[in-house]
Amino acid sequence: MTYGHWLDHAQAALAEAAAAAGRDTAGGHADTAGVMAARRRTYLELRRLAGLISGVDAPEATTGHADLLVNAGRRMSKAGPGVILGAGCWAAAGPVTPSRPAPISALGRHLAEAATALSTAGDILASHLDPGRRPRTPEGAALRAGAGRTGGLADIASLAHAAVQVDRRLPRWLGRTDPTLRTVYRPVIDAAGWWTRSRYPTVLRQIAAHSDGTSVLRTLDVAPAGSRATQLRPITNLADITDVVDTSRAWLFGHAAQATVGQVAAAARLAIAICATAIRTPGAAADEVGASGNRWKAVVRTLGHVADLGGAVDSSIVDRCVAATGWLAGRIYGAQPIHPQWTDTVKALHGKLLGLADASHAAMLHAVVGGSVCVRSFSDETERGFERRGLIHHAAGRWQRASLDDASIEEVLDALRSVALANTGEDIPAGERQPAAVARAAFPAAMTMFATPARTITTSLLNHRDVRQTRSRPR
Amino acid sequence: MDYLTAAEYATVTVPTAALDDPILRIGFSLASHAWQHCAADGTAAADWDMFGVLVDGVAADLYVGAPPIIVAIDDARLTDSPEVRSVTVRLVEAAAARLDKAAGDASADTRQRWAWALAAARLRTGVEQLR
Repeated sequence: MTYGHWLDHAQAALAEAAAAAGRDTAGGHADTAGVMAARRRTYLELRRLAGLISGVDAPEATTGHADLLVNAGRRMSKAGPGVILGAGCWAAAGPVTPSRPAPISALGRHLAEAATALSTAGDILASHLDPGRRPRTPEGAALRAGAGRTGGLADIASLAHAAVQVDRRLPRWLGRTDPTLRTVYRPVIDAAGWWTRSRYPTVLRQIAAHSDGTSVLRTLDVAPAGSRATQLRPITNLADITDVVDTSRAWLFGHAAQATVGQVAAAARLAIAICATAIRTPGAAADEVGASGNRWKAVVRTLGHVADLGGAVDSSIVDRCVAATGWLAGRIYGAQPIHPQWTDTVKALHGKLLGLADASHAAMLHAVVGGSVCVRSFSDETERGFERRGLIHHAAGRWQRASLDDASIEEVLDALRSVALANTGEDIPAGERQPAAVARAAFPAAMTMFATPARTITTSLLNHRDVRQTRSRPR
Repeated sequence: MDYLTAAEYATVTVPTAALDDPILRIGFSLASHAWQHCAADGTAAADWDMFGVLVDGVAADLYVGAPPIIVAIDDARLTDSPEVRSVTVRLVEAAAARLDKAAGDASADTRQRWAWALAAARLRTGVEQLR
């Protein structure tokens, strides 16, 4: 049973509950207590779901506080819909009821059914996250990144609106019974009255209307059980980013023969994100870091002209680099100003990018020589083949198998070498590189540290390329 | 054609375009063009870079191995102005909304729907960097 199944189940139960509230009257003390407890549990489960989807737990708001949020939310700018929704559900839940006996009446049974279905739905979402709400599955990672958030919150808003329909009938349902009960549950009826007469029903409809089709979250099932070793390692701090950079560098060096353009591009994007973060760090050498970011930007630009011949390769390196880039953008870069305690780590991270460029260069060389790269081909046919899409002219190029002589490959390798050589103090214009001498000056540590067969091949390829370049472009 | 006109045209066209319509890819290409060619320094450049890597990463994931696309844009350089930022933000938001709509199609492959939803979320994170 999927998450969507349980939401549908809860929606149907709430519709039944609304019908029962309009049709029946309250029974005795025990039944009324059961109804009130089930009602409260329904709202608390809705709040839990809103928190799981939005990634933010709404405050335990009073009705006044919730009113402030929902009215400020006219612009939907300050508080997000997840917070507005969660705070409203908490306030609507009302105070804790004295006991929680099993409901007897139809209203109580349907409300309890809805609460249980919502609880199961929440457990399905929670199974993709660990207790700290960090992702433990790819779907959990997507959820944390915001995938399906709008549609997911629209579903919860729709359910909350169904609960409003129950609450609209609740005073009448309770009003026909023993006056003592009306006194006991006055605070709950007040909360329900506020909830149904406030701006919330309108806002709930607005949030529900944001749904664009069927939320992808509805497809989720319970996450498969897995050992800690096989679970996705979430990015939770800067040390994890350091780990990603170190791992990517080591992998690109150690497995250069299997490296792909996609991996180098993902590493380059992460490098740019690190440079951007470093610029915002207090005390950063903005000029130096900015120049470094520009060199990496050139790498990404040139990589746009090449591709993997075999298409996408599932790679944990790419996944980790993408996750690290997203985490830096969402958690660190957005936190302005960057906390001083992160300064040293960000600087150290920036320092590691030289090695990453070195490894990326070696990997690209291997990929090109191995024949697994293609480059964009500009032909007369392409130039003549511009089409119009409305106002915009565009043309589709072609891919052709790459060789070391291709201009696009030269640009990529030059761009990567420019980053790798940056801290040697030598600013060598493209096309004027010293051959083996510069390579040896730039990579001495790597040449001794990685004296494995793979590295030896890399170095010889590097020299080979530089010699040919020198021959074709005499200085 | 200048960047602003092209981006505005793409913004109004993307929401109703089919997923295989080149206009969506043209939109990504335009956003990357703005990132690569916008003259900015310091923290403003960092904002563009953070935006750019997220948008470029999404485009790379969505169009793996697709033949390269060349969009004819006149402006070799752009100035980092509120107008350029606003137009670029609206363009990427339109692309994110289109991907969200695709992710909401219950008849599509589930894995593909997740990929679209995640791409939309990453684009929105990118947009936040330029606000």
